[in-house]
Amino acid sequence: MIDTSLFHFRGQMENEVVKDFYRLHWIALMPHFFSFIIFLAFIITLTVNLQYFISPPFSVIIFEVLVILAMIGSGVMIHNFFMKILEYFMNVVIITNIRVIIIKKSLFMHDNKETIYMKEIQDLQKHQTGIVKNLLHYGKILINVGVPELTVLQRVPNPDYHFRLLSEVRSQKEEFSNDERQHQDLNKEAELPMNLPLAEKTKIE
Amino acid sequence: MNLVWGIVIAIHVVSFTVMAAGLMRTFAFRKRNLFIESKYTLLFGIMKIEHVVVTYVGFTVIYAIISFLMVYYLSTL
Repeated sequence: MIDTSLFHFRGQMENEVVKDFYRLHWIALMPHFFSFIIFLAFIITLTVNLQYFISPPFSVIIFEVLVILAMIGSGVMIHNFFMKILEYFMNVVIITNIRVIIIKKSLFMHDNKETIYMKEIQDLQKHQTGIVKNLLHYGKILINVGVPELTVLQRVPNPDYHFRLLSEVRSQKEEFSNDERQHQDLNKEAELPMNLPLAEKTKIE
Repeated sequence: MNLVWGIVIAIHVVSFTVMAAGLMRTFAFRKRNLFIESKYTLLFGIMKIEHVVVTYVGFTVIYAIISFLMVYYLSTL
């Protein structure tokens, strides 16, 4: 069992406890993996069989330009692939006792954060339709916060667990805020002096 | 020929700079946010960010070595 009290993130509130966090399902990286494997296979084949190619002398300008362009292309491919994986580790959804924080961050281009407060959540839906999604255990969670557009959490791994966790935290938050409201009201009543006239009591309130 | 070598060196200087900048930003993010990983949060259940970093550095170095060897090989033809 992981001790979630050790989790922390930038912008965490004082009384905020991280319940859990997740990253996108690995299926999100599959297009990058496929293209990189094809690229690697091509490069390895080319390098191993280089001696069998009849190439023009390297002093031919066009050949030089082609080699340099291929080199730049390979570099872009390698850096793009690894940066996508590093970005995969940076894009997280954090579920706390107060809110859901969606961090969408890339290494250089964007740094976006979205927050949904538990008390704003009106309805939760879990969608896991299709053979692939059911075999690989991923799906999407739709959050209704009272606006016409639903917030969609895409490619959620183990959607059952995260759906249950969100529902649980949301219901706890609801109970807590109800208790808090009643408690505050009682305190107000108790603080008011009993012998004051009604008009003054209202003014104090 | 010297121009080609110059361009190849410049490409790899840029390549290493991009890698270093990317890794610095990754580590800065990790420093600000502490997430305790489990098999449910790692890539494919096993891959930590450190594995990716080591592979990235390895690939960039191998890419540089292969590039220099290839230019050397082609220039000797």
